[in-house]
Amino acid sequence: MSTEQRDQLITEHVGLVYHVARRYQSHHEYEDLVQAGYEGLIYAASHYDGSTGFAFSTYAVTSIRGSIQHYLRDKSSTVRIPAKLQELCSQVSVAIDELSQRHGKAPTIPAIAQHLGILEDQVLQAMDANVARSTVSTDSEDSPVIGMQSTNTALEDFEDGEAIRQALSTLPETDQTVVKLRFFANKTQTEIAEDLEISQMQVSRILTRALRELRPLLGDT
Amino acid sequence: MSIALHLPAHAAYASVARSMAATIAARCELTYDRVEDARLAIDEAFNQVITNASVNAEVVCTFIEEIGAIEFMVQSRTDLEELLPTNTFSWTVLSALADEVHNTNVDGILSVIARVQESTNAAA
Repeated sequence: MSTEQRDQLITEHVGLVYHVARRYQSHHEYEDLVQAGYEGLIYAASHYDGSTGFAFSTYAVTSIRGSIQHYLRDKSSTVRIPAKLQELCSQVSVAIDELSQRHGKAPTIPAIAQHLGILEDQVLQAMDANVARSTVSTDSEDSPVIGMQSTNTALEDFEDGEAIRQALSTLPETDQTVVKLRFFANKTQTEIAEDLEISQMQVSRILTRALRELRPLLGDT
Repeated sequence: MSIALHLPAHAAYASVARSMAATIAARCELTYDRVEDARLAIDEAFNQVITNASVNAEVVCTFIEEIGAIEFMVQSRTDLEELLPTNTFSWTVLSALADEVHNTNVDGILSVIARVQESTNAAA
């Protein structure tokens, strides 16, 4: 899909963002909800595949709702990311996924900066903010979960594999899958993002959060 | 070129090492996922070293940058008399994130050395 087609989808369906945001409006800042929803709409427009037979609006509503729910979960974390920085984060996230799809590999930081017309420092700032957003896990991220039976073999190699298994079981299901794919199946973050149909920044966020949560449970295990 | 960072051996300072690793990895023209790997790797190494650091010891993080790769060493004085075990979850994480990783314990100085590089078929 061309950039023009993507932009047209966004323009034509921006009303969906307001529609979905209104449903969460009662206890939250409407503008922030719209901002989060808009992020979901951009993501949907960038990833929509018309050959699946689903209408774009169906796909977009799911993505907008997911994005707003992510925002509400992040809002409950102890770290408050300013709206402007969150917007930068969203732009960087979309750019990473777009450039990865276009070139078949993750982009460098200078390439992301050039694509967005911003400084490399701003890209790094967005990456820092993304990690900061990973502070608290309140629920699993919305994404499909795939089976990872093969990783159980790797866990058997550890003297205290059972402790690792138990610690992993305390994580949301998606987080468990991402940890297993990265550290036991040796998949790259880009490959995991493709497999689970989530953004690469989401994978980074999940890994950071998961390791932080596992560390006190496992000690030196 | 090498860059050294001296920090207290406390988990609160891991974020400083992480940010430095990401900045240097970006300068090395690593791709996004490798920059994030470098960030996570130094976090893991930093935590392993401070867990075994002597009281009031400082941590020295040394980075070596080159095009397509970042190498770092995290060191601290330790009371540990042997090497860090490598059959742990933490070491497995570190090994998955870095292309090369090992640790040394010489004259009471514990060092974790790791290298994260761009894969040959993923040049920018």
